[in-house]
Amino acid sequence: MEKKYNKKEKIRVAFAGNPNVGKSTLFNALTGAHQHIGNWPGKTVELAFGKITYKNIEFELVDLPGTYSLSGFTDEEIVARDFIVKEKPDVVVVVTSATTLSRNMYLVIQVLELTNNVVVAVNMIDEARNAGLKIDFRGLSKALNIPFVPISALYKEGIDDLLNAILSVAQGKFKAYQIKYDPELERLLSELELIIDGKIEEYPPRWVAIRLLERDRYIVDFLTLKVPEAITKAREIHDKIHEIFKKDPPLLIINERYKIVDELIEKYVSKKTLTNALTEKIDTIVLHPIFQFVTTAITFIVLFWVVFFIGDFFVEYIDLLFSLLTESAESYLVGLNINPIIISFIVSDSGLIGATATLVSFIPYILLFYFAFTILENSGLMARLAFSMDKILRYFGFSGKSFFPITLSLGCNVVGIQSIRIIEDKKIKAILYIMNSFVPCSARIGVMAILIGVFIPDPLTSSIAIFLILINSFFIIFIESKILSHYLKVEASSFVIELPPYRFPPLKSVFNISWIRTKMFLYRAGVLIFIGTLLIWTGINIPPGAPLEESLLGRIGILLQPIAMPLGLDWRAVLALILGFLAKENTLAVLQALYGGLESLPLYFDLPKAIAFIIFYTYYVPCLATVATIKKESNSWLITTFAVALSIITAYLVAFLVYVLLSVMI
Amino acid sequence: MPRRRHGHRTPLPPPPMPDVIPLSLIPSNSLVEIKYVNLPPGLFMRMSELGIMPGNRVKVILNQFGYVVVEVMGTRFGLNPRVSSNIFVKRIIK
Repeated sequence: MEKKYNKKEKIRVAFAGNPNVGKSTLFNALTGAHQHIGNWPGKTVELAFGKITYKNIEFELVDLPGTYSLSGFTDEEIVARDFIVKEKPDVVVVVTSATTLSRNMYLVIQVLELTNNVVVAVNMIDEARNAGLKIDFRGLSKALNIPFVPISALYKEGIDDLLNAILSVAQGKFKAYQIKYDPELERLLSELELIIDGKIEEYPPRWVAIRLLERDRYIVDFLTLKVPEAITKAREIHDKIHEIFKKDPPLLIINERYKIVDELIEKYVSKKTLTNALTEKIDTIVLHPIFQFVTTAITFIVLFWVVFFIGDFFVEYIDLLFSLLTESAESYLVGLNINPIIISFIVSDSGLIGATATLVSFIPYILLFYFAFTILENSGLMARLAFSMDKILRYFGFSGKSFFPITLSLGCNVVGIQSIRIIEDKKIKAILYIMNSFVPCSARIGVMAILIGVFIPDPLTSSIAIFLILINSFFIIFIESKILSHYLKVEASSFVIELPPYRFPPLKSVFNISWIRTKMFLYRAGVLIFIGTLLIWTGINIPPGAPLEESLLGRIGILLQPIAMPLGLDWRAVLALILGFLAKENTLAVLQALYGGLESLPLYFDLPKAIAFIIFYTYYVPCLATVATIKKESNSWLITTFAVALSIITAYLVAFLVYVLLSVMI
Repeated sequence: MPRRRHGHRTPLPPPPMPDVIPLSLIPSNSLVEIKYVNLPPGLFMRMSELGIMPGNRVKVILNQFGYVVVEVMGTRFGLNPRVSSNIFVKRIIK
């Protein structure tokens, strides 16, 4: 029966599709900047949500994660599948690429097992045209009774047709034919369906029967509680399938799906596969046994330069702006005879303006990072770099993609943590969140270099000392990640990665995605950074007007002094480290303030104490912004707390060892 | 009849087949037919869904010490040695 929509109603549309088919480009073309990102409950997988109005009807659009199937092997697949099943969108648009339709159709068949309300958007129709590929869209539509709509998300071609098709499906004008497999398999499936039907509401019975034969663990657990007799029946049917088809049931079902795909492609698509000459030419260099490492190094240097060099340029102006703002605000407030405590709360480095400045100063780095990273990802280059780097990183227990989080952290830990989202394996992600603390960022390296220069004036010796401390941090990463991998039972990684054709992604779309993600960062991590900064202000200013050593934080420093004494450090060094948590550069400022200048430090620190302090500073917890980002990205207080605790404990042990060794030797 | 252990089927070892070798040993620019895949169940299913399964033909684009790039159904995938050494194939010589 046709459903009529009026302007008060909404049509909910979910966009599914394989990675690299232009799904996000299409989503951006439809929603522009009017979208927001949210997490699926209990998962770190993100979904993009947007709204548009077409023919006076409101469409709620959801961009599901890119997946090859809905089999539930990864969090992305589980989220995509669960969204379709539980949220029951009015229409599911499966975005495919005209250039790889035979591969993408597998997901279409799986989606049709879950819902009848499907539209297939065949993207990149411009590329197909240029390659002389002919697709009979009407024939495909007739075969499955669902719309197949040719589009080009890049050139915004066919978008109206797509929206009209979505409307038609939502109005009930199309209802997909049920996918039918081998008659004998269908007979066995209906036996299973009969047992399940009427006993569950959550999922379509036929889909559950198929998943049960595919040994989907989640469905097996679900039915063991709800319909245990289905499990017994499934075992019988597994044996029958082995007898009749001489195949394992999951493999049989995959074959059946591909049989349908092959029949459709054979009949309605003129060429099965296309060659991409440009991709092949570029790959001769990018995947060359030697040049691949050169390409990786150059790409990384450019990425580093874009994020940190250009970022620094903007941050300088942001710092200048906030300095002027602070000065003006201070003069104005003093002129009004406002209480000095309130003035301090507003204008000090850890007050309101300081906290805002800290947050705003991250925007250039984060925005540039997402911009550059999105281009790298969508162009197809990142996949090839990860493939190349896997050859080296596997010796350290990491996969190729881990290259980005580790090396980007050398510039800024916050940016490095953000890039961990490209890792699929949850356990490796957790290890990287934890290990990130040991990669010294540029701020830490800068402060470390200055302090070493104070205690070891000879340039060669101080350079060697800096080098050894840096190398040691990677040694710590290697050892501790091996231990964590063993404890978390991380299997030797099997690395399978798609190498898509090279494409330059549309800049508007890239900018939209970057800006939306930057806003997300500011909203989620920003709140923690802001609160943390104000807490530190409170610690310094209670009681009001007291000198630093009598403030709350000062007293904490004195309280912690006994713990720091085995490293030869006093409460002033402890306070410098505590305030370094807010921003790494603070440590220098506090040392200067409490010891009467950097040049006076050698009077209070002998060499073993100095090196112990520097080592502790280099390896202990990264800044507040990084910790907030770990929490935001991992969505886990456990991982965040563990990362902080491990870094402090490791820093303490290494610093203590070095202090004892140097004290004995010198 | 395959053995049962705790309700799960234990895959039988592959029968000895002439000219069947690991994918990791196939030279670049070769066409192969997949004969047997010896990977953990989850990864095996994932590879099958990508089209890398017994009976299918794939093109080996390049092989660098077991790091193999294959083309299957118009899409290229990079596989590390842990995967490529557990996919057994027969080279098709035209």
